[in-house]
Amino acid sequence: MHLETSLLEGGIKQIKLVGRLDVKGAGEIDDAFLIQAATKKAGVLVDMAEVNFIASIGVRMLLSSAKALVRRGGKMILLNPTPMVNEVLTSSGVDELIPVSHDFEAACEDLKAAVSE
Amino acid sequence: MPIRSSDSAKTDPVIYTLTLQNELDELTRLGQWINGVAEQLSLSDKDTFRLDLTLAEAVANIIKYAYVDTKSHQITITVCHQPAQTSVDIIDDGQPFDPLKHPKVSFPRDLDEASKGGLGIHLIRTYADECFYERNENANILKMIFYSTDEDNDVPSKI
Repeated sequence: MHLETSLLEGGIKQIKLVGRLDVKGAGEIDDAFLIQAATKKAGVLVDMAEVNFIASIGVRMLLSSAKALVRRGGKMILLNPTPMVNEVLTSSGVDELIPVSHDFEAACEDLKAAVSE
Repeated sequence: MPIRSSDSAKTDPVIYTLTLQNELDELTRLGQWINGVAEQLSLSDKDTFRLDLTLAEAVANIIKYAYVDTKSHQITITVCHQPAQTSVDIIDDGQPFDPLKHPKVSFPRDLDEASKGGLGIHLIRTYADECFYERNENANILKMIFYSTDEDNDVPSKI
C-alpha cells in the first residue's frame, strides 16, 4: 500500500491511495496519510480508484483523518471508489460523514468553495 | 489443497483448509490464500470480495481480542464450496466470544462520534448471508454462509 500526493489548482491537495487498505496496508500508510491529509486547513481529495480492498481498519483511518481535517476547517472528499469499496463505505455509513464523488471537476469546485468560506 | 469426497459427483463440496497463528502478520497470508481459493473456484469478484472482507474482519478480531495469554495459538479456517453457496468455518481456542451477540453498531451522526468500534462485526453481518456461532468445549466456531451471486445481482443481504 502506498500513497501519492499532488497539489492541484486552487490549493487542493490530492492524495492517491494505491493497494489494499487492510490491516497491513493501513499500517503502512496511516501516519503518512494523517500528516498529508490533516495537519492544516485544506481541501483534500482522496483518490480511491486504485484501492481494491478496504477493511474496517481502513474505514477508521479515513474517518480519523477526516475528523482531524474538519477540526482544522478543511474538508475531505473521497473520489472514485470502486463499486465494491464504495459498498463498504456505504455499509459503514462513511458516505454520510465524508462525501463520496465520482466527478473530479465537481469535487474540486466543492473543496475550493469549502475552504474559502 | 482442495479435497473432494468423490471425483465422480459434480456437486460434491470442495473443501480448503488453512491454519494460521494468532499474529496480525498472518492476515496477509489469509488474504492471499482466500483470493487464491476464490480464483480456483472461479468465484465472481463480488463473492471473492465478500469472503476476503469477512474473513479479514473475523480473524483480525480473534487475533486482537480472543487471547488473554501470550502463547501461540492456532486459528483454523475451512472453506466448503458448493455451486449454490460457500460456507466458511473459523475455529479458535480463545476466550468464549459470540460476535453475533455483539450489539449492532449505530452509525455515527458526525465525525466526532465516528471512532467507535464494532464496525468489523457489522461488516460480517452485512456481507455474510447467514452466520452461526457455537462454543464447543474450548473452541469458538463461527460459520458464515454466502449464497453465490453473479456480477449483476451483487447486493449483499443483511441478517
